[in-house]
Amino acid sequence: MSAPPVEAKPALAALARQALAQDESAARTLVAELYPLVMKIVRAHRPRRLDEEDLAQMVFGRIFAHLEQYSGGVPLEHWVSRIAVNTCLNALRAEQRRPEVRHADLTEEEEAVVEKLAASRPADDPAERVAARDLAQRLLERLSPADRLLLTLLDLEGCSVDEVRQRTGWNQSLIKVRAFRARRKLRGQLHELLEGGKR
Amino acid sequence: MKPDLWDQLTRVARQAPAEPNPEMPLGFDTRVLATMPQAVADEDSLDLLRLLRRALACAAVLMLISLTVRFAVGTPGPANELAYIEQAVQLAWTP
Repeated sequence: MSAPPVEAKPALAALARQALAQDESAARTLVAELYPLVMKIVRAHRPRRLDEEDLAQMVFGRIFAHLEQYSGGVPLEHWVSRIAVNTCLNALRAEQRRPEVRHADLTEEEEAVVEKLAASRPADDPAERVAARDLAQRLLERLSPADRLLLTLLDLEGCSVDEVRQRTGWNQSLIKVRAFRARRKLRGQLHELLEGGKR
Repeated sequence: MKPDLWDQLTRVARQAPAEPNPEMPLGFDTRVLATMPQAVADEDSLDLLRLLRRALACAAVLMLISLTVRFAVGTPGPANELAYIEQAVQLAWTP
């Protein structure tokens, strides 16, 4: 599954120019138009300790602080996405704590998902799908910020390597090597979780 | 072949219902605009900090290079050392 392409809105670039010219109403409209996009990225990549609204505000702060550097060469949404991703990455780097995920800490639904996966049975229940997403996010939190961001984009959001390259600015080989190593770590953790359940 | 649990987990996770599009809370745009000058100032000071950090790193590298060069040039090699000794002996014996 690939993430839906961001629809380019030509009016956004015009709004950005007006906002740069101190047009307050244009700046407000710009914030309102970009809010869903920024919030989607913030929700997917924010550290636990940070409130999503606070992080979104930080992202908008950076957007406006650098708005004069926007050349118009790419759609504004792409430019904003990159700023949002980098702001989240910096926030993740500031978070030192990487909580361990133990079998005893799993919720009932998460436990059911792990057991079904181990038995190669499908997890069809919507609650189990949500639990699978939560568990995947908790496991991702154990990784380094960059690895976490990368696998969230690739494996949870279903972005292609090229889309990740556009959003992060990393080169393709770095993305592939990093993803390979991070997945290997996560497989090990999942295996440990299963072993913990058998004891 | 062992099943790839991570791959299976993320395949199930991607089928989870998407969260509804978030609505902008009332006053969020006002808060963003109110903190804008502060955000710009913060970014400026961050840029300055990054510049200072780079300048410090460059200065440290230059200092190391200059110390290395100075040490290499200033330390007499074995040939120089012999010449010094010879000169000293000659001076001592010269009336």
